[in-house]
Parts: sequence; structure tokens; C-alpha cells
Amino acid sequence: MSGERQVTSGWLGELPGSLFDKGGPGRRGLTFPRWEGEPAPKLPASVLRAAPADFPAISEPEVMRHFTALSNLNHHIERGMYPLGSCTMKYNPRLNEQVAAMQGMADLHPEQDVADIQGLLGALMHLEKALCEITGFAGCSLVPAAGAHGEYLGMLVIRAWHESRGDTGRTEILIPDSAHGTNPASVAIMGMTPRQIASKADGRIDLEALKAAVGPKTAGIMITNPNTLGLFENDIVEVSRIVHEAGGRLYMDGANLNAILGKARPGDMGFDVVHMNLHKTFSTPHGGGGPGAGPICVAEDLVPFLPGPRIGKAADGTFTLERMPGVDDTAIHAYYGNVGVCLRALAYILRNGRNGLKRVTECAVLNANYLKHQLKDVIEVQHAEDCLHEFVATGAGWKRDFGVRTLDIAKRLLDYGVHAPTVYFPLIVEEAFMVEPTETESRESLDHFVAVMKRIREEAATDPDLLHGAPHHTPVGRMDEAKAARDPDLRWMGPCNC
Amino acid sequence: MPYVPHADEDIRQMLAVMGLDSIEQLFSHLPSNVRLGRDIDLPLGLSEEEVRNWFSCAASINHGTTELVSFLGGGVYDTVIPAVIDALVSRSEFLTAYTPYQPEVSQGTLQAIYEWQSFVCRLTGLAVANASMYDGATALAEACQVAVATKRKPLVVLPATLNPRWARVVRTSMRGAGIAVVEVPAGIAGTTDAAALESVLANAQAAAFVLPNPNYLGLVEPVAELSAVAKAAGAIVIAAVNPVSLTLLKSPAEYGAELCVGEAQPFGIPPTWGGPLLGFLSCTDEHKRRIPGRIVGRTTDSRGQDGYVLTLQTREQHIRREKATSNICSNQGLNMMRATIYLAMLGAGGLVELGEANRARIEALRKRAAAVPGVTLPYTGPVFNETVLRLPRPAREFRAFARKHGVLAGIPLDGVADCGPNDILVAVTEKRALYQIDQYAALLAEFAATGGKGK
Repeated sequence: MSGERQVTSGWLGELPGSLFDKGGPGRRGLTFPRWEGEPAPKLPASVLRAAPADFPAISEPEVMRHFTALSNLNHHIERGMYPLGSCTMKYNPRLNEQVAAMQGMADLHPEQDVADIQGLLGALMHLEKALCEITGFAGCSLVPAAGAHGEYLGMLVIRAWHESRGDTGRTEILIPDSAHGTNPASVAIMGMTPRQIASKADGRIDLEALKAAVGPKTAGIMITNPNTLGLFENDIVEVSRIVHEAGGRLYMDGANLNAILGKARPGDMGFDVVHMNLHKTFSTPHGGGGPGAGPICVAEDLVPFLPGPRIGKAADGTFTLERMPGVDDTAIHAYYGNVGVCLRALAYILRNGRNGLKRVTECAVLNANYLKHQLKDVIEVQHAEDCLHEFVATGAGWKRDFGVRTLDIAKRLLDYGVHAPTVYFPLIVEEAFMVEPTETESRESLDHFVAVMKRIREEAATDPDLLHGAPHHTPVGRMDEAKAARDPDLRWMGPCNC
Repeated sequence: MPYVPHADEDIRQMLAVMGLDSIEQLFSHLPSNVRLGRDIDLPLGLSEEEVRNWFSCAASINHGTTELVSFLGGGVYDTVIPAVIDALVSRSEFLTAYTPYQPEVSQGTLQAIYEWQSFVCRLTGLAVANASMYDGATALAEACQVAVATKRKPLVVLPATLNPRWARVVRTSMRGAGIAVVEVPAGIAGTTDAAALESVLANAQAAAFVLPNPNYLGLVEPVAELSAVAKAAGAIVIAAVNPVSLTLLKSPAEYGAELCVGEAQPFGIPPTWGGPLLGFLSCTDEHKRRIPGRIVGRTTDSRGQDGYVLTLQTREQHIRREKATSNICSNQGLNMMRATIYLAMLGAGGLVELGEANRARIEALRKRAAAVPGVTLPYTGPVFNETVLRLPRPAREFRAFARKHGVLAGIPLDGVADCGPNDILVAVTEKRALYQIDQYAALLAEFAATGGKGK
């Protein structure tokens, strides 16, 4: 099979088996500093557990080998392209890791005096100011630990602003139907009502639908710009006018900020709040699902509604932590958010500077448009005229012509060492196949993706079952997800070898 | 440019393929009234060496817990971190991987999550755990939401002995959702008074009672008694624990908690001024379809092999949108990996030893502190690794005095439960040596005798 000769999976090793089956009685990994004092008096039996938790007993070399074996089962950025639309899987510089791990940063306790953390506060204020300049806003909170967490804080800020004006009847947030699922969820957990508005076929806001939806209940609108199809919201100034005239505020989901760095700023478009995903635009690692960070920037009149403590600067130049009187009882995290992630993002911003950040966006948009152009005979692209950093294609034609679904294409890509794109999102595109190459893929890498896609198209035409059964060369095949949900096995039940 | 592969010539060639001659053409459709007609006002990019120096300078004027001797706790602790953790989590395979939505090429992350869930279940005694939450405080807020959704009663009871930072996060979350919060006061023992809880619950239909153990004052609560009172009143018991204490203390399952949350930072995660941390959330089987966050299940693949997938996803926002149980769509992946490696290294042999190491040190400190004239232990109940000391003068003054000697003495407690300005919360972990505890006692003695003004 010609396709089979081309696969480049190169996976190492075998499935490693469960950690809970490893080790043996008496084996030790971690040991603790010797104690030279007296033993503690025994705790009363009433507070003690009946038996210690059943843990495996494993030596350090075995632990290293187990987790290294696990790591070999993962796709990752250094292994191959990761064209996940909306996820911005760019290269994660190792410099970022070094600075966040420095002694004097990683070892700071959150209850230390401000005098002991002047360097940290200075760095964080520097980041706040840089993010405000990048987004065109007046104030920043670094606390949100993720994009969805930023949405939650943004909604808290908008609601607090309405309430401060005695305007308590505004309970609705408008959300286009092309939005990411976190948007309506973030509104709902605030006790507000997400009101979906139909978007046009390209996911852009329909001004007539918007005019019909705004009113005295409108607290605001959440818009992803560029939207989830990678298209800029061309009518944004008019959208802003309509929503502001109705008394609402504009929230921008900054998931796609990588498309407009140095080109356009949310604050200049009429937005009032934006969140950024530092793990997308500002190169901090995804870490297999986190930790990320989702700081928000806000317009001048919303700054008093950012919960404290906020970083300030005294007349003598020392940094301070200041309580915010009106919102002192508000907190969304025990401390100050994912500070270590913020430091990584600052390293990235300093390294790039104004020139580098502009180049990031230019090459992200160049790569997406180049890829879209090169794929034009391979898969049908939606709204091809003016995409920015990503584009949405549809597998509808493949489904019709070859009986192959987008999921099958995605799974076959894994056999070629390429991660699947985002599929079946946005929901408004049939058989959606959403590609975001990012700026850190070279031209050769993009050309490889195109070649693989052409090969898979040939396979689909001649041997569709090859795709239906894909992937064939990964450590495991397609998983029985129905079984997993029907009969959940969520923890290791067996006893340990100890 | 640092991280973009393209040379100018590459860009020219790629544009030519598309029939373009300038990158600017790709942005020409942006409306002119929103274009930034200038460069953003940031400096030009720096070299790697310059950025490293920038951070080295910033770090050098900070004073962290490597340089100082830390007795700070309150949810974040100075603990032993084995070298294998940094070695393993710096592997690109873990560091740079995305959320494991494609299980065929994500078994490493997925199996590690499953093993994390297994460890958490073994510690808490409960049947289910998720893949982690932002921190302990947000995990608690989410658990309260689960209880409210289960019981359909918009009221949650918090004890005065709960970490005040956590209480603030819970109150913010409840206020947003229109759920009332009632506080139950602490008794003279520094723990929640069962009779007071009973009377609070008699007057209100509560969905949940939050039971911190040990509580913010370091004290083991009368968990069996409080749990029985709460359950008799129809409230779900949510345990909020320091997971290190579960090496020795009763598991939440043993006292009838249906949900358990906590902060797992002590399991191999540096404090980094309070983030990123690692919240965990665990529950009985009946709540598994209501809890937020990612959950991994074991299943089989098309080739008949065992493997792992994200499961029960119909709870989540990318499927359910506004009807989801939460807006959470991440976990603290890499920190969860750190904690899983830590627990593997801890193992059966280290588990009880870790608990006993904490116990020995806190009792040594209590004994030495109580012997200092003017210093008292206001609460005499059992503790795990944290205690309140009552000083002869304000805790803030002692903190400043000890800091001059390179010691981070603890957290002033004024206003927490019944604590006053002279009360300080002191944590002693397995990292503290006897001589450091003796030094602490000597500082206490000097402060008590001279007010810290002697030398």
C-alpha cells in the first residue's frame, strides 16, 4: 500500500502498563531530611485513618522509566506540526522556562511582605503595561488562570459597573452562535443569561439581528475577533456603537489575538474588556492541558472594578499591593493567579519587542494564507477571501465523494506524524476542519502538511476504509469512547505490589 | 526574529506563490478606522542573554524561601521537591503537548491523569476524582456549585475556620449565581462548634456544609460529629483538606464527605507567589456526572488494547455550552503531572513517614514555643503541621523582627475566627531541621523579652 510506506509515525516503545502494578515491597523513591528531635506524641486514634492509602512502592529509576515511557506516547510540538485551529500551538521557547524557574521567582511564598518581592512586582507591572499597550487599554488584571477564568472575571467587572450605576436590570449577554462554548458557560455561571444571536454564514455578526436583540436587558456582548472562522469583524465599530447606545459593554474573547498584534487593538475598536490566552499568543506551554493564564485588560472607566490587591507604585519608586475599595470582597483565585505563566509571557514579549510581535502576526497570517492557497485543490475552504491566522475548511465534499468524514481525515493525519486540526468546530460549518499553522512552522513544514493532505485525498479516493480505520501506526487505535462513558473506569482498582 | 523560521527571502517566495508582493496585502481588508497607524509602544526585541539578565536582576532583589527559612503556610507550603520532577516535566512530550483530545497520540498525558485520579481517590477514599482545578479555592467554589445543583437549595454554610482567601473565592462565586452563604462561628477550641452548626442548619435549608480539615488554624476538626450534624440536616459535606494530612488523618470518605477538594501544591510544586497551583476535586460515585473539569477513563481501542480517553464529556462546556456544569475548560496539566510523579516517588514507604515528619516538627515547635514566657498555645486540639501561637505583642511586629533574622515567621491571623492581632499561624514542614525550629524558639524568646528591640 503506497500510503503505508509513507507513514512517518516513528513511535517508540510499548504501552508501559500501570504505575500501580510496578515496584515491590520495601522499595523507596523519595526520602526526607533526617529528624534529630524527639518523636511526636501520638494523635488520638479517633482522628487517624484506619489504614494508610494503598500506594505502590517504587524506586527512583523505575519512576523515571515509567514516566519517560508515558511521555513517548504523546504527540508534541517538537515532534511535528500541531495545526489546531483556535489553539495557537506555537513553539514554546525554553528561555521562558528558565526565567520562571529562577530562584527568587519560583520560591516566593504568596504571604511574603512586599519588601521581599519587589523584583517580582516590578516584572508583573511591566507585563500589565505591555499587555495594556498591545490591547489599547488602561488597566490589567493578571489573576485569571485561564481564558474561561478571564471571561468570568470580565463578566464580574461588567456587572459591577452596571450595579455601580444602579442599573440592575441588565441580565443578558449577547453571544454570536459561532462562539466558543466557554462564552455562554461563563455567562451562565454568573447567573446571567446568554442570548444567542445568529451570525452570518461567515460567522460575522449580523447587524440587523444585533439591532433586534439589544435593549434594556442588555448587559453586554461577547465577541471573538478575529472570529472563530479566522475572519476580522469588519463592522466592529458599528457593533460597538449599537451595543453602547443600548447601554451595554463589549467583551472581546482574545483567543485569536495572534492575528492582530501590532496591527489593530481591541481598545481602539470599541471593546471595553479583552482576555488574552498567554498560552496561545504569548507562547507559554500548554502542558497537556494547563496551566495557562487568561489576564484581562479593561477600559479606563472599568479599572476601579478590577479586584485587588492590585500592583501600584509609591512615590519613592517601590511597588505596592493595593486594595480596591469597591470590590474588596471579590476574588476569583486564592492568590494572584498563575504568576509563573505570566513571567514566561513577559520573557516572550521582551524577547520579541515591538518589531518581533508584529513579525509574529505577519508570519502567522502569511502561513495560514499560504497553506489555504496550497490546499485549495485538496479540501474546500470556507470564506476563502480574507482569512487571517487560521481558516476553516469543510470535509463535506470528501464525505459526498468518498464517504469519508472529517474525523477520518483527522485520524489519518496522525499516521503521518501530523496532529489533527480542530474538527467539528465552529458548529456553524458542516464537517468543519479548522487549521491554524502559527508563525513558528517553516515553509517546508507547511509544504509537508500539503503533501500529506494530498496523499490522504488519494487514499480516500482509492481506499476509503484505510481512513475509516485510521490511525494504524499510533501507539493505540481508535478508542471505544462509548464504553468509557457507559461504564466509567476512572481509577485503578487493583492492590499494589507492596 | 527570535522564534519565526522565515527569512525575508522565504517570505518573498511564499507571497509570490500566492501572487502577492507584500505581507501588508494580507491585512488590507482590515477596516482603516481600526488599524493601528503606528508601532506599538514597546522597546525593540532583546537577545536571549539580555532577557535572562533582565530576569536575573529582578529575581536577585527578591528574597525567596531558598534564601530565607520559611514557616509560612496557610495553603501553600515549603516542601521537598525531588529532582526527577523537573527532569520529567521539562520533556517536550509533556511540556508542549495540547489537551489530550486525540487519544491515539496522547496516551502519555491521559494515563498520567488516570494515575493522578487513582492517587487522589486512594488518599480521599472517594470513588471519583477529576484531572485537577486551578487551585484549592476555586475547586471548593466548584464543589459548592455541585452541591447546590444536586440539592436544589441555594444556600451554603461555611465555617469561620475556613481559609479566608478560599471563603472570599467561594462567596464571589456564590454571589454571582445568586446562592446565599451563611457562616457558622468557631467555638473556644478553635474548631467548629457542633451545636452552633446544628442551630444554623435548623434555620436554613442548606445544600452544603464545608468542612475544612485541618482547618485554617491548623486544628483537626471534630469531623465525625460535624459531618453527622450536617447530614442529619440534609446538607452535603464538602471536605476541604490539606492532602498531605491524608497520609495520617481520617480520609473524607471515612467521615461521610461526598465531595472533597484541596490544594495539592505541597506535592512537588514550587510556590511561585501563589500560582500556578493545583486544586483537586474528588467525589462519591453518585456525583460523577455533575462535577466540573476533565475526567479520564480507561477503555479499549480498536486493536483490543487497554487505553485511556477523556470521558463523561457531556458535562462540559464544549458540548453543553450554557447548560454545562461549569465554564472550566482546562486543568493544571503540568502541575498535575508534577504531583503524580511526586506521589509515585513518595510511594507506600514514604507516605506515613511524610506525615510523621510533619507531625514531629510541628510538635517540637509547639513544645518549644509554649516554654517561652509570654507565648501561649491558645488551642490545644490535635494539629497536623500548622499551629497558632499567641504572642505577647502584635504578630506583625514579630514577623518583622524574625524577618530581620532571615526567618519568615508566619501569617498574622487578626480577624480570622476568634483570633486577635497577637495571633500568628506557623507552618512546619518536613523540610525544617531541628536547629531551625530551635532558632525560631530563640527568636520568640528574644521578641517576648525585648519586643524585638533588644538587638
